Amino acid sequence: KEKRRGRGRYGGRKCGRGHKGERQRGNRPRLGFEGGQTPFYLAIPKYGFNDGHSLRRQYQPLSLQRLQYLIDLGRVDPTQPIDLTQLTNARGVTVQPLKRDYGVQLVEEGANIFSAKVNIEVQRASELAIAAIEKNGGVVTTSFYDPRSLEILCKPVVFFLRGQPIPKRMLPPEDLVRYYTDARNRGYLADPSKVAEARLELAKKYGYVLPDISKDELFKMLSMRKDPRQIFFGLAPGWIVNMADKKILKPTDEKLLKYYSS
Amino acid sequence: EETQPATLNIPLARLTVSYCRSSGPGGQHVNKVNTKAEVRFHLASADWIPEAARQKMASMHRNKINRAGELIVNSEESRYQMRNLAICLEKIRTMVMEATEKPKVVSKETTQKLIERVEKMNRERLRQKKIHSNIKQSRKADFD
Repeated sequence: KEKRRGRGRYGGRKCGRGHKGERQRGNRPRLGFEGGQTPFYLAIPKYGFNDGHSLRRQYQPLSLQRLQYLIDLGRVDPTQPIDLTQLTNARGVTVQPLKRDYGVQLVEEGANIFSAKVNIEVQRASELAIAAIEKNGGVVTTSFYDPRSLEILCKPVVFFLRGQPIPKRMLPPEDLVRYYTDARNRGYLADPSKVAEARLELAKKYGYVLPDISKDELFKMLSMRKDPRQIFFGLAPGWIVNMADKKILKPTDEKLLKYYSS
Repeated sequence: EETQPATLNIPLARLTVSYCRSSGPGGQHVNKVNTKAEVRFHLASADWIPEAARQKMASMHRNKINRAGELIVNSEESRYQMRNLAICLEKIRTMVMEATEKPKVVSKETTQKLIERVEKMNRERLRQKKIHSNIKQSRKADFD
């Protein structure tokens, strides 16, 4: 039975509109009007808090607690390198490339309870989060994805259905080059020897014994890294993935090969 | 000259680290989670600190040393155990650095220079005062 307008003593008579005046007659002034006094939103002077907000890079936070939760439930596989694609497939994070999201950042929310050995790749990571992961014998890398690559990374199947060749990942813009070449942030463009030094330094600073990952059984998996121009682990730029026929097409033309391998 | 490396290498095996619950407000999180980090080590037998620094630390921080001779450093400033531990280690490093710093030796020339400067300032001040006094006196109309 559909809901009908109240006509009795509850919901009827004045119908919740009050007694006379603008209130009952539905003629109240606009929101923010203060009876003629300069309203709050006009009295306060403008200041550039939100200037260029649509050009600012945003990174979806991923806490260590959430990561531990996903691993415990089995939604994310710690025996394979953890990528944004893996996290999106597990619905662990939701990234919106169109809303100026440039990826995921690691946050130290669950640092006390984190105990998982993973090879994780994010776009930004704080120092304590890096320390927490390395303490448990894992590997962190920060890498850059331009918006087009990010969209492809988050929704690979939709991209493959388009039939376009996988583009090569662009290098970071000027202001981010410094971040990604710094070993302290475990940037993907940093010197590997400096990264090893930074690991030792962090271990000294945070007071834990750095576990030797070269003697680990999963060492090969933990040391898997992507090429700076690569978006997916098994696929190289320039290849087309045919979902219907389950085939991969690779370019043979010299010029194309040269372009895609630069 | 630096007798020790820039960041002191603290042997973690020689320290006793314990965690307990922190004090202060914070609801369920502060009640349940062990975030306060406490680091103890026997000061007299810590050979990773130079001997002179050990003596100095024993006198500077005698309030933090218990009857058994262990120096106790604790920290509950952060929400995270790891960071509190890092802060404890940083505090130990600062203590050692303070204990190893030598008092500044001011050379004879510098002390002489400083005294000369002060004297010169005083002389100049008195000269200016005399000039000003002459100006004021020259304005006086003294008819004898």
